Amino acid sequence: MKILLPVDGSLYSTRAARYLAKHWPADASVTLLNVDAPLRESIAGHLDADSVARFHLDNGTATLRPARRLLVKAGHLFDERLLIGDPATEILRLAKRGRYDLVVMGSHGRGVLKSLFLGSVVVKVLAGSNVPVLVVR
Amino acid sequence: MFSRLLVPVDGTPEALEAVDAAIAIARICKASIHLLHVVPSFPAVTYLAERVGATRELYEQEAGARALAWLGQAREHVLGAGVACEGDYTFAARIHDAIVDVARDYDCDLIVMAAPLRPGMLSNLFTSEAQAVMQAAVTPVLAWR
Repeated sequence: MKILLPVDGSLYSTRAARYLAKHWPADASVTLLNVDAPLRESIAGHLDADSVARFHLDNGTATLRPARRLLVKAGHLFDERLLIGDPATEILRLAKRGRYDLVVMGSHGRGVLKSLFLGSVVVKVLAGSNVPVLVVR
Repeated sequence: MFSRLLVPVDGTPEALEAVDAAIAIARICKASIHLLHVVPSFPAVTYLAERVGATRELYEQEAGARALAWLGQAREHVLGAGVACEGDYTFAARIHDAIVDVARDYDCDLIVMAAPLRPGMLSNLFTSEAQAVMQAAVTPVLAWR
């Protein structure tokens, strides 16, 4: 089963990774994904392409770290993707093109007020995904 | 691994597809499936009832009978696949609240429910029942489509 796990480095996405590692059957092959926001033109314009690429690589690698540790420990085979752009758009595109069976996402909010909302990325993915979505909070 | 999956059904073909998904997961995990059908309670349909002249007893009797028929259909499906299954229906004014309550009461560790993708802008205007459950439940929700 091909599972896509987008993470943003927050507590919530780490919780989703932990959940997946703990509960999901061993035959899962999980792809970790981080979508980094593009640098503003006013900043990127002063940097060469290599520096921009390295910046995003460093950012993405650091973001994936907590989830990666959990998944390696659980023995889920996995692959990593770092993309740049709008998170919801890139998640939807990869889920579709990569023929994933499931998208797993952590969602913000356990408090009284926060529990009234799902994360905005989760809502957008739910609204546009052809692939089943598992939301962990 | 999961031990008990909650699958709310509403009699639609999409809900039965979600049951199939739950069966696949339950087989791998050797989990059982708890089916639930939530019937809108009588006060929620009072206005309509005035027009059709129904009484609470009549409504509950007929809605209950239909709920049992749907549940029976889904239960046969699950048992036929060799997965342990129980199921019940309940009356509630707010469907997602009833689903959340049952998930808690029966210690379900995953809710699997149909969340059909609406075409175009509709998906942004109307949030699905699944989304309401996600907002209210501590239990993870698998939105099946």
